[in-house]
Amino acid sequence: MMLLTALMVLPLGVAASIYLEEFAPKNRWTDLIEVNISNLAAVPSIVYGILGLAIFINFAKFPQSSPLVGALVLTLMTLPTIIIATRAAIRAVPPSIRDAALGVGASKMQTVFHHVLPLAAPGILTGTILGLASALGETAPLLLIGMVAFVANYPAGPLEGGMLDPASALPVQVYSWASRSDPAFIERSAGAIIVLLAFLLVMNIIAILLRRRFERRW
Amino acid sequence: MEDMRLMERTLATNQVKVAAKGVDVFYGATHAIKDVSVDILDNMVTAFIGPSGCGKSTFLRCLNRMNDTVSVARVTGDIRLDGEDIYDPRVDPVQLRARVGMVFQKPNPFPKSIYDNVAYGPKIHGLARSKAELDEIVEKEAKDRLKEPGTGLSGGQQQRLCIARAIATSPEVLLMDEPCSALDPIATAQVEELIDELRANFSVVIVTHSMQQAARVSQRTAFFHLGNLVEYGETGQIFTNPRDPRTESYISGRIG
Ligand SMILES: Nc1ncnc2c1ncn2[C@@H]1O[C@H](COP(=O)(O)OP(=O)(O)OP(=O)(O)O)[C@@H](O)[C@H]1O
Ligand SMILES: [Mg+2]
Repeated sequence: MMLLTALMVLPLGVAASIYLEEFAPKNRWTDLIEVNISNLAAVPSIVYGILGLAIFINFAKFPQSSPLVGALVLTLMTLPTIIIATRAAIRAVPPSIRDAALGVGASKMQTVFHHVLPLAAPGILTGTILGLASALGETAPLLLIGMVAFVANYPAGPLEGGMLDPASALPVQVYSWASRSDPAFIERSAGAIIVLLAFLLVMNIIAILLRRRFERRW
Repeated sequence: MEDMRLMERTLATNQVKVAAKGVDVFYGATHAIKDVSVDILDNMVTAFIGPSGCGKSTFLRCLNRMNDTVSVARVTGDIRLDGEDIYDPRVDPVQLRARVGMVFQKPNPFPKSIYDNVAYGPKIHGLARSKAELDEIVEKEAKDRLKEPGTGLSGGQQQRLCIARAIATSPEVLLMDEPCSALDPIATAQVEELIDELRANFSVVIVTHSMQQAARVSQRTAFFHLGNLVEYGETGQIFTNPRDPRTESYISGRIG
């Protein structure tokens, strides 16, 4: 589910940022959009859960508790954060590099894709992974789209259409296990927490490694 | 051989490469360039001098439409490259900048290898059909340390790399905005030598704050003051026998 979120949010977020930062005209419309994006980043996650419930389940009739809907909700939720981080990274690329590229006769597109984007990549990656990491621990919006259901069967693998089967997410699982009185579930929730933390750690390590690889001085 | 080159030069001497007529530039409400007309000749170095903020860079950036990237800037007037109006809506500014190269005040190599820096222009303009051809173009401009990052060079080397990058696309006009302002005398001398060589193939426009440099490298000099072109003529004449009192006081160091 997180993978699906990443796959959806990264291209969308980066594309939106590039457009807003490099191509969009500066007028009242883009100002409005800008303010809205910063506001959306501060909206409590549970509101996204309700939105997801209304749009994806009630309106678009996607199956309840499915990872697909979960991923869509988390995508909506992390999108503003990622757009903000990406725009900051794009803006941090020195203007002299743009001048240099334009000066040898690169088009706007070539300038952005050959020079600005590679230089902004470390910042974009960091922002994305931090956004995803916060989504990883998110419980509230998932509760609302029904990802709490006690799941009796193992969901099918993602390639066999498992994206539509009922499933649960780790943090939600922790939440429901921890609130049971049965002592057997205490151990389980502890286990789930450790798995969750391990995932977080791995993601952050990947972020650091990627950043090291892409980092360049100028 | 030398005679031949000299003859070619004199033959080409009086050809107008870039003709600007009645150019005005506004930054919002600021009137930065006021009704400037200049003919820039082929195979010559033209120097723009004048006090800070008088609009030298602004005018230079009109010549390859770099001012298009500044949203508040508005350019009016008529600028022709080989008789062709460069502000014609049918002219692609990207194609134009391939013909009119630019070197900036601050060295700005791409954070890539020296090879990639020089090869970038020819690559995007499709000047080389194969890797070997590309290698050949690059090797004409830069000889060694091709794999090293361009940002690891010293300031003077970086500036020469930027010049190499600009001429690798074989432009017809080369614009240089204070290319030596961050360089020591030795690096400056090297760049000036390079400029003199470039004159054989391009027409060069250089903005400089150093009178000595203008006198050393240029054949024509234009003096700007508060957005006006005060005087334009042969470098020797401007420096020894200026017609306008403002030019005189500037070159003798009284206004600046
Ligand atoms: N992007 C811009 N936006 C608004 N005004 C500008 C901009 N660029 C330049 N100006 C104004 O235009 C005028 C001319 O600036 P310009 O950079 O051409 O001067 P210059 O002669 O190159 O000076 P210097 O010798 O210090 O480089 C200045 O008054 C400056 O304030
Ligand atoms: Mg300047």
